[in-house]
Amino acid sequence: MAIWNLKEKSILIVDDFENMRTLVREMLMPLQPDKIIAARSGNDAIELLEKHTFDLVLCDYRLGSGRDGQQVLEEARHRNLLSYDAVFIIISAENTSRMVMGAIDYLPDDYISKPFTPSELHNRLEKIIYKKSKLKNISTAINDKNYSKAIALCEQKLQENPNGQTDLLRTQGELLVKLGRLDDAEQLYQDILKKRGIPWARLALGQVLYQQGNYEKAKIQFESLIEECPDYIAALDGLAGTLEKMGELEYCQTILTQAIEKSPKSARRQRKLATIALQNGSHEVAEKAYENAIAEGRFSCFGSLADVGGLAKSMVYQGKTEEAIKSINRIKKNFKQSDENRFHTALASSIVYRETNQLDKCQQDLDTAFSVIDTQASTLNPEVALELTQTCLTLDKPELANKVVKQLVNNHFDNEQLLDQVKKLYQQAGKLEEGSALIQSSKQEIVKINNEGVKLAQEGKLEQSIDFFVQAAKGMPNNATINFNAAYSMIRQMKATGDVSKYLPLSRHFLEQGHKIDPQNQKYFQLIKLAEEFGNKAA
Amino acid sequence: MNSIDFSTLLASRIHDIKNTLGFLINKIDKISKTTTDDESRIELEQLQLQSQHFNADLIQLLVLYRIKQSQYFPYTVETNIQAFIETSAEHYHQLFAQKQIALTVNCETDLYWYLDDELMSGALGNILYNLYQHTHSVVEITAKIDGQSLVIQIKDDGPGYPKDMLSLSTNQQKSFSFKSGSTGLGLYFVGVATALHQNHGKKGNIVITNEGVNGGGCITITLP
Repeated sequence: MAIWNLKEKSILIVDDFENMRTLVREMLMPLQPDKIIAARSGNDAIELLEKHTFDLVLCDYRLGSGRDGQQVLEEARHRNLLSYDAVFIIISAENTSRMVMGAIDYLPDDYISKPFTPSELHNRLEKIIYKKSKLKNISTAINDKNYSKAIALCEQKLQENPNGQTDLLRTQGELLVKLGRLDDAEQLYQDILKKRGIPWARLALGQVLYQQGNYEKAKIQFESLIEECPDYIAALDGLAGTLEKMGELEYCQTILTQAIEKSPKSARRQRKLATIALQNGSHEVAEKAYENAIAEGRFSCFGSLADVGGLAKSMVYQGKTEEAIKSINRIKKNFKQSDENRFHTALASSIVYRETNQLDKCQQDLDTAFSVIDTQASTLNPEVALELTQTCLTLDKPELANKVVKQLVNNHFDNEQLLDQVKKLYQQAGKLEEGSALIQSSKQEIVKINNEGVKLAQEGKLEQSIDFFVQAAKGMPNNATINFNAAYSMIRQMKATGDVSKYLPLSRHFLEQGHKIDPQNQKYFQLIKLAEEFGNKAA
Repeated sequence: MNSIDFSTLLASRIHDIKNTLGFLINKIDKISKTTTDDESRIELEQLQLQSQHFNADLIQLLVLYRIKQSQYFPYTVETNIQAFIETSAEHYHQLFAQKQIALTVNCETDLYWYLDDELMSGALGNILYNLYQHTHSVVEITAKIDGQSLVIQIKDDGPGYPKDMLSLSTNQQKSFSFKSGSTGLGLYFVGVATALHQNHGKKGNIVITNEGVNGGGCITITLP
């Protein structure tokens, strides 16, 4: 019998056919795993992943209705339901759609195609687990967020034996990007591509060029990649993102439409198409895409009821007023009853009445929307805040508009494009001066708050500075600078006291939060380098 | 029925067929491992081979259909070549042993190259299935890097390939004649699968000669 085994490992099998679940379970039993749990759908799989820790997931790509295998993987990785060491394998009946499956940023550790025998499965598992174990120290460094150390380990391994190690090169490239070392990453990918036009390397090169703001060059890479592999969804996504930045919105819409034809089950991609189509005046396309985004997002972490507002808008622009109200009511009834539901459906409905000049009804909906946000301190995403502001101004409620705008500025004070949009709304309402003044004073207030916290830190009152920034971040969670400064004070405190236990996880939380809000902000990369050394001590 | 519908239909039916086939193969596998009767074990192993070949045929049909629709794009991954050959040949070892055919693999353990695993193991399986019927006593597989290419050579000591198949390369795919039966169709697939592998403008190709062992057949697969 096999020398290796799966002792102490816990395994999740996901397949909609009971026969297959049983079959795979029987195949794994001789390897003596600690436990095997089976799920019949993607949704069940996510629930199980929330509750248990798995070392190995074997997931069929086609899972009937609901999430497919790729979506389970994306959500599991996105929500950190799986550790970096865990193995995720997608089982499929044919290999031809791998490029379609390998969407966005999440790749499985392996694909196994049906049918397979026990010995084939065992061999594959043994190989993958062996490969992972050889990289154990690298993944430990990554789990500890010590990226520089992980890069050094990659380099060392590559020097020992460069043969058959493209996985290491790939990891190394991703780590360089994580550390903001974009030029080094670019060089690495260029070197790989000189030898062979490997699709993932060209994709990664395109993404690096995009991050560097080199959109022309990024576009060339993505386009040549798509010509070579027209099925490569991630390349289409990359090209669409680049075109959006370049303002080539018609072309962007074409590419997104192509991507969706190949892989429709993504709430994020549908939403992207919807917003671009809306800007292009393709209201019918936008309507369909918003509908799909809402449907696909229903059970996904990438879903957002904010899409209902977009749906309403795209319908009203086609003159479908009554249908729009019907759609909103249908969604309101069919989705889980929650504050989120009440808020977004009320806002959507207010947009319909605003655009059709039925101001009494519009006012009613606006009241409902505010009654929800007043009772809970939620932060609105920028598009929603803009809609809300416009509605308030249309109804001549400047004080409500100001309240929304103030919060928006708190969280996005350095996003000039967004602030320009706000000014435009005030201008349309004939209140440009008031709007500009409001933005100006809100900005100053934030600068003052920020400076106060920085001053405390400079005076060596680090604990006070930390408390101050943590408090400030509660009020403006989407303010990247505040988040970064909270982390910076914590890092300085760890350095001063040598005690990492108190602030290490928290400082990382604020760092990642700031990075999520503003991925281009260089402060993040400076700070993670500083934070890395504490990871060593904690480990 | 338009082509998109048919493609979807085909893909979804193949999904179901493969589920069923997987079930079948595993049941046979299980019985053949527990049976104590040598004769039925040999028969079960042949049943196993036929099921595997059935699966290989399905893959071929799907791939060929997609190529015709310009929808097939190979998924090439850096692969350990020795492990790849061993895995592709796994089912044939026992069968060859039954007919006293010696199967040898000559490949360095640290040899890596880029290939589409499913396409090429289908191609290799095809060649081996063919040799199971035609070779006398020897099948030799060698793999090595030659310049900027991977060269896999499969030699046998059978009667050799018929004249009309010799000197054909994948550049003349269309002239593979279907009248030469399953061997012809099989080799046609090998040629197509190989040609789908490209690097920096170079395509993979196959060359067929009768320079094998004692005048037997020899297929040379070159992947850029």
